[in-house]
Amino acid sequence: MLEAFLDRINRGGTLEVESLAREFDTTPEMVRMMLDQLQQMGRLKQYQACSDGCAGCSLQKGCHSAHPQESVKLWQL
Amino acid sequence: MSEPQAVTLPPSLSEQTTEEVLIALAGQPNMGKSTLFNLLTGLHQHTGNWPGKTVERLEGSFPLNHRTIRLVDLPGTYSLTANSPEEVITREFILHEKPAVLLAIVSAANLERSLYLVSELIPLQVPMIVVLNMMDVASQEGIRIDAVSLERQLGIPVLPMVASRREGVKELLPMIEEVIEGKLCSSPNPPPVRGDHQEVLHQLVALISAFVPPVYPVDWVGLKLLEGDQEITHMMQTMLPQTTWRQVEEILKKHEDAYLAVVSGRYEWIAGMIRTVVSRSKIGQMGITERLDRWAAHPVWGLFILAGIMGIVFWLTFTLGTPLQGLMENWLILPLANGAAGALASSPMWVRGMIVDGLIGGVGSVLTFLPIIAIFFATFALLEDVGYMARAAYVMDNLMHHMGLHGKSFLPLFLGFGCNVPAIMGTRVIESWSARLLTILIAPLVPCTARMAVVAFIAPTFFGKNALWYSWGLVMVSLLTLVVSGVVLNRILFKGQRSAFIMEMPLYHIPNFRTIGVLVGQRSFSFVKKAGTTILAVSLLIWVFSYLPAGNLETSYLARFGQWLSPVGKIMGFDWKLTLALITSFPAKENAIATLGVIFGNSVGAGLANTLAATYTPATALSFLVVTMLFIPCAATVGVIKQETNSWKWTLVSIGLLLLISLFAGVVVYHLAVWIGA
Repeated sequence: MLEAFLDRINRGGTLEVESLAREFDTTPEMVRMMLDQLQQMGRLKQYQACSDGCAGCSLQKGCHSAHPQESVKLWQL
Repeated sequence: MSEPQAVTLPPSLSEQTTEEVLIALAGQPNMGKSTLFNLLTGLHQHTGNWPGKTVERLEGSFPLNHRTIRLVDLPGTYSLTANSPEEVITREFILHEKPAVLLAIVSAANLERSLYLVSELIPLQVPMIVVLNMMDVASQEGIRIDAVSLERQLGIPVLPMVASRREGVKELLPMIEEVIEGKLCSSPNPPPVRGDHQEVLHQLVALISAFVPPVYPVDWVGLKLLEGDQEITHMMQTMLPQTTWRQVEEILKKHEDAYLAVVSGRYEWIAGMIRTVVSRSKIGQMGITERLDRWAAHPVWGLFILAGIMGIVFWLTFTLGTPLQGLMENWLILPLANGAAGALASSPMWVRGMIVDGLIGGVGSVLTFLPIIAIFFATFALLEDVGYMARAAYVMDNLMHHMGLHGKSFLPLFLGFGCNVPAIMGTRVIESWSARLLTILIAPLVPCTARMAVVAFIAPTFFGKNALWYSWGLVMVSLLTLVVSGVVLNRILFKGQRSAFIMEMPLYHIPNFRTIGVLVGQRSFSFVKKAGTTILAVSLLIWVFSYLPAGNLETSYLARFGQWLSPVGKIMGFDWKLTLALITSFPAKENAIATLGVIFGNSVGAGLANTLAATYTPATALSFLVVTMLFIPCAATVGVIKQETNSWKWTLVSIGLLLLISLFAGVVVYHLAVWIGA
């Protein structure tokens, strides 16, 4: 399953956790687990919005201030 | 949460004890392991450290019929892959101490993750009971688990429990007894090894079986070798004769992909189990998010919804903001200008001109659209706060990806709606240089709030009630240009290469109006600050050049410079004043309005909006707005482009590209509008 999942990511595209879960007939939590696993294996990297690109930005303070723990999560190959 | 007290054991279970039996609690952190430990052992517990580690060891005891149960709370771990001291301690303890019963605490609310540890505990071949804790939390989240089916699938006794309410704890005690006495037999179903790797595992097991220390199950050691587990690999290297080790090594080298296959097998095993034992009714935020995202994140409908929402944003901005802007102009700026002109009547001409035309005409004009900006910020903050902006960027990026564009530009584009500076800086998350460069080149095409402010000022002046549709169209033109430029540049820079990124969008929220208020306040303050610094400086500079050398605008240095540039402006329908407004928008986009405010300062009594409407045709205004939206970004953005590309060449390419696109679009739109008769 993890191999098929990695193949899917390697095919490219803008992917989203919920839609990947539907595609693999599984739960979003399973998708998150596989993403974490691939990240642990060094196959993916995770980024958090405003992770390092916002240093010095005047809007930084206001950015994602409402729900910082729930801002967009990104994984990239 | 208060610590639960020890459960009162039935009299029959509290009798004189003789035999000591070791059992262990294993599970991931925060699964309720400690709660159960405290309930079972009460005050009979002591802490220490695991030998040679700084990890805390918790041990306690409780009587169970004629036995004393020695209970060890193993450190919380997510897996047994020897990545951390906790993982090593857990597996070494289970393998060496061989507890009579291993209580695997799993969370019913997060069964997927919990089962991963179970999939690793099963091959250790110790009697197990799976304690399905947090049934109450699962129920609250709409998760129902068929414990009987789970037990059948795992081949291990499963006991549902709510440890925090002591539910199921009494039922656990006889179950433990039955397992100790061998009355409750289990036949665990471990995750299967994929067919093509089964033969490899057999080969390994055949080679190592005679040399594996007795405490380790041979199959487990074989699996760990396939997984590349460093500790086990090192152990077997020392145990095996050199020739055998070389054979093992050769097999492992040939099957380097085995780790992925073994782990993949575990995920398949978990997924199959979840499919059969878990049913979910989507409730609360999750359910709402899923229902809304069927439309909002849909590749086609999502785009229509985005377009619709942008329309609503402009409608709100113009409906509420434009009258307020008019009020500010009529009740604040005009009286202020007239008052200042009156008060400074006896002052030298240049002082009056500088204050009235330069300061009030420039900065004042920009400040009048503070209400528009505030409403625009508020609507965007609202969309951001409810979680919609992430969907907006997702559907945009999805569209771009369908067109063959690189997918990694999502984050910068997302940030670009606020300001292009963080958008360019946000490209740092992109590792590939070419992908990063492409994103840097197209990110300035995301309409930032400063450009939107210019649109918000000019559109209602020329297009009245239709301003909404014109503004909406301008945003769409910007985004379309971004997509087309991206596709073309992608073909040139990446030769159509595709890559992937995965995102998880936040749940939708009921907006928090305090947060939105703070956000609007902060951004409005930034805007006012900019008006008081950059815009003020440029306004004064523009006024100085419009005054020198003879105090006459038409013969001023500014006019001469504008007239020198006018041949370029003319093909887009601009006179020298509009051309200058465009050029002076470089330090800050709002300067376009400030410059017009200074230039038309003499007619400030009529209001800048009215003066502009009386001076230019709608075709010229539309062309000006299109060029403003696509023009070279502000100086701060260009500075960041230079900083991030570390190259004047690419900075100039970016400037040249945007200049070309904007001028081309301006010419096309102006002539098209004239042809239509606007």
